[in-house]
Amino acid sequence: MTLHWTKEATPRWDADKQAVFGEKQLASTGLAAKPPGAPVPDEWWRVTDDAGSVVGYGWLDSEWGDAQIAFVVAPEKRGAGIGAFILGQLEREANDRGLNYIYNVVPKTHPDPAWMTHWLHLHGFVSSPLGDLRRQVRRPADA
Amino acid sequence: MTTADYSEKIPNNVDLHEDRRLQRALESWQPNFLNWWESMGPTLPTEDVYLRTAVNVGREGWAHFGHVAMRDYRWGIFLAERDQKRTIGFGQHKGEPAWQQVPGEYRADLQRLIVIQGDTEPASVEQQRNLGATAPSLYDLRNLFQVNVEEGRHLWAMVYLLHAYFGRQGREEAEELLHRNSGSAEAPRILGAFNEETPDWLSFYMFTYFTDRDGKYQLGTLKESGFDPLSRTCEFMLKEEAHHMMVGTTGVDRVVERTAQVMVENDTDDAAALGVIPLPVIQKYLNFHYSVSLDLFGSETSTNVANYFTAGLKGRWLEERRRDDHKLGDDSIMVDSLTPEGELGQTEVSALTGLNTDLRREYIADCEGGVKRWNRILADAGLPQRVRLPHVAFNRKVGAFSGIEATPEGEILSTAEWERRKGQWLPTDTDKTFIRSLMRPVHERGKIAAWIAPPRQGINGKPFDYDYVHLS
Repeated sequence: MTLHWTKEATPRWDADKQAVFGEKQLASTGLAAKPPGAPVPDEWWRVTDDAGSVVGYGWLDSEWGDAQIAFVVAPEKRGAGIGAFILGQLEREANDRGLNYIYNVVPKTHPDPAWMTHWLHLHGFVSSPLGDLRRQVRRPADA
Repeated sequence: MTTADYSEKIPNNVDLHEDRRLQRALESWQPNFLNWWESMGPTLPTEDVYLRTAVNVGREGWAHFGHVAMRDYRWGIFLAERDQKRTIGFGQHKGEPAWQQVPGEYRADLQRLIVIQGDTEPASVEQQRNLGATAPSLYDLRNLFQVNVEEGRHLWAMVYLLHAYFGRQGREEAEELLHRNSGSAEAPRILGAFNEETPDWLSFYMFTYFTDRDGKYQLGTLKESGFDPLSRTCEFMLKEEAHHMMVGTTGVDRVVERTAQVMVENDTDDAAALGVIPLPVIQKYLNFHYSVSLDLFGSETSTNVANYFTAGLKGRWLEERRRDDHKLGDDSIMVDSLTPEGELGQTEVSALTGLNTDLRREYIADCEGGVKRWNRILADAGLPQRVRLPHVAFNRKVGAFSGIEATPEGEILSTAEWERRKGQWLPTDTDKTFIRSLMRPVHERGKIAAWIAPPRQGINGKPFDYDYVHLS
């Protein structure tokens, strides 16, 4: 399966997001559902498979300094390496923006925070004193 | 208390002697700071420098001027006077008394904001450490060192907050502020723009005009914070920052003035041949520093910034002057975006999530002031050329326009076209080599490099030819 990474020019709570973000996915990411068609803050990318189906999303919230990243994988597509793909793409996007650090906060509403934290540790994130998990952005030559 | 206590090892106006534990913790951090200053601070050896040292945080007479050996500079901790009646001015806690302690639920967010602000302060010292070797005059050299020591003091300001209010985690973060270094591969500074060396004095003036100005706006939003010690710290830092802005503003003034003067005297546009900086090169440096500084404000919309505002942690620029409910729950703002057809456009979002855009627009309006000044200098010289700020979509790496290329006029280009033409708008290797060729030190009293005009006035009423710096 080839995965495709596409930036959303004006992210909105569209039908694809409503389909991917079930109750569990909202709890996992700490997001709240929005009215259909409402604008969604931050920079968003959708991940599609060869058939054009949306299989996940990654988003990045950059403000003064570093960037918080988050992602979601469609429930029926978990275990296929899509999360790692999104993480790699988000890191590349952060690198393109000159950002040196990315971090993720596992929300209190996450149904399995220990698993999520472990997954992030496996991907090089380190728990910081701030309660988040962060990693220095690897440059393409390091990755 | 407004007057600094200089009898203490660490000058302060926070009654540090009343908290022995905190005092000891900061005194144990002090040697690490001095080691950092020795290893990462200015490289040009000096005997002493005519520096401003804060002695009071009141409106009048807050600083003392005198020759000081830089290592002996009295870096201290100064907070603006406390307003006992201050209330939080925005967000869901609007109207409540300002916090004197960190609210538990906002601890991580506040610490993050303080760490990021703190990280920029030593970063700029590191970026500028080699500039002294090519200073165009002792006046400029002194200004560089003034900026450097005050950025060092701003680091102290943030470290004080970390030590005083964030316990062990704060102390660890304070150590990290000295561990990360500008340009380090292993532990770079947090903000990308603070990891590039400042290679020449034109870059220094542009940095202090555009990038330090971004810092001014970030400090301005933290000055509004409901966490009162942070607010008072930033209020005083802004007072010192005003000098840094002046260095950038008048630095570019003087470059433009000298170029215009030589062009008029010789009736030519070929300024480079006459040893001054051509206006198109000044424009390219302006384009670069302005566009990378726009990126520092982050993407057009941000969930985190909305949350910071609602929580009362970080306000808007001049929050008290805004004529709205200071909560923004029902307000909206138009932010930059790309249309589905890939054209430059705008989209309406909630005012809360658009706060990065709000701050960036305030900054842009301020930057226009510099352009007007520089164009007035050109007009007064009788020259038709003008400088200008490039379009907000130009050379952007962050936000809505990060995926496209655009000219300074805002015309979208293909990547190939951008690659072919970007040298028209951004400094090329040839431009940088030329600028570097002009960077020869002028360390004699009363003398100045040929590519820059002398200042209209000196520091603290002293003349331009004052002995501002004694070199070793």
